[in-house]
Amino acid sequence: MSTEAKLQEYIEKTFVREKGKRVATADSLLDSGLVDSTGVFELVSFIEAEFGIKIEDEEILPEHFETIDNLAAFIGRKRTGSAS
Amino acid sequence: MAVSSAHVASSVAGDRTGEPLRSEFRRFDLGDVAYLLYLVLPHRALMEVGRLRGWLDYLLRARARRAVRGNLRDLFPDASRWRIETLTRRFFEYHQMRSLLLLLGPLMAARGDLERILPVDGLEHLERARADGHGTMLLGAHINSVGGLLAIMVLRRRGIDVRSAFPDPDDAWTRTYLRAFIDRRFGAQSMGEAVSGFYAQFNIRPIIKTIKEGATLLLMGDGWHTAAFTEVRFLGRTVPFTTGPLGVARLTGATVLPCFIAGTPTSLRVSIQPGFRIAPARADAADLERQTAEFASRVEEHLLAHVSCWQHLTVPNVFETMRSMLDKTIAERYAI
Repeated sequence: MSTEAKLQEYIEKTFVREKGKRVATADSLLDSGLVDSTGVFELVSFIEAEFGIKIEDEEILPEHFETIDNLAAFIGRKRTGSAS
Repeated sequence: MAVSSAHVASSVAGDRTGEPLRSEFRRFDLGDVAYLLYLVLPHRALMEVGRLRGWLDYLLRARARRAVRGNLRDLFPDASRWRIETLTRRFFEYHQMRSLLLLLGPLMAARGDLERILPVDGLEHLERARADGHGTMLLGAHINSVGGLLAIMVLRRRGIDVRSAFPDPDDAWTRTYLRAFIDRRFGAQSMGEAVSGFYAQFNIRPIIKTIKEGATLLLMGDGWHTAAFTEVRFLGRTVPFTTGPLGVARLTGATVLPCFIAGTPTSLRVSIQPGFRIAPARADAADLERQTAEFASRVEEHLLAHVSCWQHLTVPNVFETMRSMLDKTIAERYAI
């Protein structure tokens, strides 16, 4: 399962209230109100556990959490050790 | 004004998240005069100095005066012109009186004066909630809101570990060399130290950590710098109201105690109300929304009793601004 698919499954299961509604990987998570600050906290915990990476405070930025695509790219950079 | 996500990224830059507020010094400002007056004038006289400063603001700050007056007219369409003007003038007077109190707060706390002028009602609710061990959150509102920081100082003087999260990493109450000297002379702390303030914006990890450490956290429950809203009835309108702080309470299991600063600046009181908890499951969002609506109704009741103390009155077309929050990006909300 790809990083995007894992994130998509978790986000749909955890944050989407309308049954059967899908979240595209380019959909806005923050500005749409789907994921709020507490949601980001839960998402960080999920990513750390699922992908075995440690996300530092300075990396918890809106730009990394705006879409599933952004998150997947950030996780990819973290795994290769090139995230800033 | 649209704000780019790069701007937000830098404005919420996490490298100082959770750190104490940074305090710097400046050479001289009007606050020095307030410090010197505090040392020689009785409290009532000092408050009259604050009132005079507010009255001058009322006369000179035409744009702000128009905003306050317009919002009051929206709120009380049937009120007489005289009534609206009185409330408008009081807004500026109270604002300056509270600002003066806050500026002097750490020094007054160190000298034992603050506890005398700011009694705390409902302390038993906080003590009971702290004893329950679930974590505690005091939830205030932007009504006499800087009084919340004074409340933290009073509670900390009583040995209760209360802290506060700020959306800006810098201590907004920059001291001068003279004030820092006087503070040292009387053993007073900087504002950031006195309220145990730390920086937390988008990243709420330090907020969660603070609650888990057993400290009581003071948050504003009617803020606009938030990613999460639900619609509630407020002052006869349907407006978005933040669910952020109650979301944190849901996540941590903390007991939430509404905490309002009642009265006018010459007779403020801290009012801590009985606590409540939020259903822990994210799926049970209805509970979070119901409790948010309940809190909004308490804010409304407090606001109507202290309308000239509502800090948001200076925002032009405040009700329209509140209504438009759902249409704004997070960057735009942080910029307000």
